Amino acid sequence: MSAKLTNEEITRRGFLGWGFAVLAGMVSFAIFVLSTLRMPLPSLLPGKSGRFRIGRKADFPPGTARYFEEEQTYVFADTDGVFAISAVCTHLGCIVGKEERQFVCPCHGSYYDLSGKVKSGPAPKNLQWFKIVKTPGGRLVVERSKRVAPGTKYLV
Amino acid sequence: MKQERETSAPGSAIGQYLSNLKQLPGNLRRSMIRHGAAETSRARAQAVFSNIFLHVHSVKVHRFSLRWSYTFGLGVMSAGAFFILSLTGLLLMLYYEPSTQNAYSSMKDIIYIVPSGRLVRNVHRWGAHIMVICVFLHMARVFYTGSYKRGREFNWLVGLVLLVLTLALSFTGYLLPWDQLAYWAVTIGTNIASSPQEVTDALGLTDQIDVGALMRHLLIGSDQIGNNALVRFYFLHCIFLPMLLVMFVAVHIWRVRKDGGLSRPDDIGPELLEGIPKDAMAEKTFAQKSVKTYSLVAVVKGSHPENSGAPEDTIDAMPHAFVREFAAFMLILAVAVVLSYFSDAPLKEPANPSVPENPAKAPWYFLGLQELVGYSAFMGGIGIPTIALIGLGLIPYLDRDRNGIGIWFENQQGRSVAFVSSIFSFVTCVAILALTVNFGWLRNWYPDVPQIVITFVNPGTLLVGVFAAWSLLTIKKFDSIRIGAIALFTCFFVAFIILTYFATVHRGPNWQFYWWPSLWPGH
Ligand code: HEM
Ligand code: FES
Repeated sequence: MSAKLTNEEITRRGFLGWGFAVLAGMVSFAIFVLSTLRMPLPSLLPGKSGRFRIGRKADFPPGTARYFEEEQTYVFADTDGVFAISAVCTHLGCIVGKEERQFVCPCHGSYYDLSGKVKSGPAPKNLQWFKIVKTPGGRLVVERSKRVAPGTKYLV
Repeated sequence: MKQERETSAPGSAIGQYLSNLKQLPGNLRRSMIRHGAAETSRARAQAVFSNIFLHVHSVKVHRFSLRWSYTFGLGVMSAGAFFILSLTGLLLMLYYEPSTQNAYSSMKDIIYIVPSGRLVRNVHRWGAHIMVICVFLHMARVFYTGSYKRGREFNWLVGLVLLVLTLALSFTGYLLPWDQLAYWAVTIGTNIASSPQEVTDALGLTDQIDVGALMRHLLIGSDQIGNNALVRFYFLHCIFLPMLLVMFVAVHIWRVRKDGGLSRPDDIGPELLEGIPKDAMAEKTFAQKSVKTYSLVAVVKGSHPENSGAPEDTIDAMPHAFVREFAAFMLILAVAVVLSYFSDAPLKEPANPSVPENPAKAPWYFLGLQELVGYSAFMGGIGIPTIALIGLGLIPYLDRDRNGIGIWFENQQGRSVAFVSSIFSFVTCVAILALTVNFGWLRNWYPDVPQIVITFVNPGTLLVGVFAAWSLLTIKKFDSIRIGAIALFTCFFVAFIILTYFATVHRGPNWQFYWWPSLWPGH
């Protein structure tokens, strides 16, 4: 048995030749597999850009409460300033509804106070606050991609 | 095997040609089906193993396996429901369009314009319900008869894969109509994929490794359920998952054959075989000795087709098992069609990403989970289901006792433990549900309790803990792992039913408790 094996000696040249082919094959296969595995993961998430205009400062006198349905964002104004709170429940992404003094999520009954703080229910986090900026033209813009600490208002 | 007839050639090629033409039908049939009429045991066996579709099935089955009250035909019915779903699904695919623009209107077309479209859709929907029920009950029968033992451990795992695939098929199908129900149930469902954030947030790791977002993006290809999600779900539902399921079902049934047929008790008294046909063909086979036997080598050792019926009390699968399997299939078909005439599958308003359906309920078999998700997204949606699956998978590897196979609940002890455990589970579930409905949970008592505490200490995890303790106690008390497994399985099964019932009937708008759906506001 062992004699037979040594008969089929592997020459260096043979090894280099075959070895190179096999190695090249394995490397390209690995690269191919790795890159195709990447494919189902989108690099650019399709969806809206995070910014939307809400109007001028004068449109938001203290006491205003408006809901931007497309953007799923509430915009409020009080004497301190204007602020934007996400309507997307932090539990599993339903849209919370606003009641007199709280937000309620219809899906599993999370309750938040009007500053977005969780009061009860399964929501793990408070509602997101979004940054508000002013364009050079004097319009207010909500940046949904920029999160700010609760209580951060666009000062009047 | 009949030989092709040597034709006495009438000399000329043209004569040969005509004579071959005349024999075409017979030769065509013989080239297709090699065995003779299914009159001998051997021909019957050939009918099974020379057919690529039938050959995964055993050629012979034990007479005990034909007892209706042993299997209730549930495995076959699951497969039958899948077959119905495949056919009706193909028909629906002729008209359905997987785009957010057209999905909903193509569903409307199927219901109101396409001839028989409504019926086909209904059968598809009812078929799905039936399949899920059958698969669950089939698993329960396999468990309670101890049929995961003696070489069947692996097939139990294959079965678990089938369970997951069945649920995944239903879930992906649920999105396709693109109505309010679909949109919001699937929004919730896919957000569960990102719920590991509940844990990574608490550990402050979300910025480094956001497993949750990764899984969610992989699943829906976007940040929100939209066209990408619809196309992905369509692909999963119509191509990927059915293909996987077919492969695993083939393995599953092949393994039933390879594992020595269905499980059965060690001593089978004649009373257990009453009314089940005997192998009447045994002697007849002996009488026919003349034909060649080499094609039988794979089935029977020796040079003659010996088939005396003894020592195993078996019987030809063709026709005895097949007739019964066909009957089970027809029963399932009949139930699906009758239900479909009387009750339509729902279609709500078109999906509206701005206004959730209230309440937004998942399909019924996920409602138990939705109730748990209402305590903690991560534990309810990922943690507890994973624990349950791992627990189920471990059963055959922890209970290695060779006894207790083939008998429902094994013995009197098993029966009473199953009974007591179902009462125990019922009482525990009702108590915990009543507690949370009336008094809320940690956050209502201590408003500043950290989320991570709620994630790991909530009514759902409490139930799991209580059940685990209960089954450990049972193992200790009865000094039997099998009895402990019966206790645990029963607890989970009953809890699943109760949570499903509770979320179906008693949860209304804002997921609040109502005694009855007719009391919902707005009714
Ligand atoms: C798509 C889903 C499934 C299909 C189509 C299916 C089909 C079948 C069929 C036709 C049988 C033959 C016996 C009978 O009818 O009871 C069988 C047996 C079996 N099934 Fe399944 N099954 C499915 C899911 C499952 C699940 C969820 C489990 C458990 C986790 C499971 C575990 C087993 C085992 C261990 C056997 C052998 C039972 C015995 O030897 O008595 N199967 N299955
Ligand atoms: S999604 Fe809001 S409570 Fe579940």
